[in-house]
Amino acid sequence: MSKQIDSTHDDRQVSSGRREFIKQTAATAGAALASGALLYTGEASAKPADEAVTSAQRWGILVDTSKCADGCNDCVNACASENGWGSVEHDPRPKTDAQWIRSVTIRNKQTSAEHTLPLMCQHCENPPCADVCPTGASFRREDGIVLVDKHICIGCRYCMMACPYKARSFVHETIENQIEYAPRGKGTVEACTMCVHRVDDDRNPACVEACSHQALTFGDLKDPNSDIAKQMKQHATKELRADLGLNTGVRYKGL
Amino acid sequence: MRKSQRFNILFGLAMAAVLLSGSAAVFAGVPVPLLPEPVKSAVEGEESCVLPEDEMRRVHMDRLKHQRDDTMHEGVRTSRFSLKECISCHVTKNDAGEKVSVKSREHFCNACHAYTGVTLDCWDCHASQPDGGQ
Repeated sequence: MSKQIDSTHDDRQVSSGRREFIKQTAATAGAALASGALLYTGEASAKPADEAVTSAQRWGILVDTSKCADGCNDCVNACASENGWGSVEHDPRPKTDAQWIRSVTIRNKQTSAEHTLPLMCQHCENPPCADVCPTGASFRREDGIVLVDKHICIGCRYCMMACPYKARSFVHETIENQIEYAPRGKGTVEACTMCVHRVDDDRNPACVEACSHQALTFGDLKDPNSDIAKQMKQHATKELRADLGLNTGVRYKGL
Repeated sequence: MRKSQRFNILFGLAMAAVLLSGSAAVFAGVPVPLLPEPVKSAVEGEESCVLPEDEMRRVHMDRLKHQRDDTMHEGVRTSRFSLKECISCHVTKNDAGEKVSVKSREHFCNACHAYTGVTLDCWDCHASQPDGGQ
């Protein structure tokens, strides 16, 4: 029996109308600009659902540690409820329970300067997790988001050893009632996805949305007109463990 | 005609003979699952599923896997062959009007897979009912 599939049923092929619509919208936006209107370009640019992501974008998050408030855990809580980790059936086991993002306080021993900052997957351009992954489950998407393909993750946890940020977690327990857009399951490794389901939907990650102190900025590092690129051009920003040469997508200001 | 083709035809005829000769009663103890009707039609204006039913029976797994890789690796978010869309169209409610999870034999996916003895691990990670069963 042939397994050939009729390609006419593929909805990727019937998108010319939508492309036309986008072209027209762009033309309208151009006209609006010409008449002196402001076009806000700091946000993600829309990608039609049927098109693949490309390396024309590189998504990143800028953390302004000077605005990050002591004792505030809004980004962590927002991530947990968005992606369904954080509430466990059993008694909390902080050493092994999944944690996609955590609040870390760092202190300079010489100057005693303290900074609180959110730490999560840094979405490296050269991710050590993907380097060591024996199955190809850890990978970097074309637009710079580092993910685990749990369909092919065998749960070896090599990536967790390789990550210099300890950003990844292993799911030890059976999980039920997952959130539709955030599948998670026992025996696989997981980490911050930069809320990829939101990014593909032209929205900000949950942590960025939840931050009431404007300490987090999400955007396209490759777009010079984006809010994040402008800030990074203007201010000194740091990569954590820059010595490793990973070229992280998450950057810190004020450290 | 190749040897294997000839075998297939002979085998088919033999099976048909067995079935027609009344031996079908042997299978009568295993109820064939009644597939729940979808709650909405996937393609607007069309009565059928995203593909004709006979095709879906054969290729749904290929389509799902194809879509899975496209979505996971390339961020393609079309809904036509997504597992989420299957689940939201083919949601099944029990007598009490609650959405059933894949643990139930009434669940659309489980109805067939339990009958055929195929254990799937999709729902180790994925939600088996839309909107958290609400």
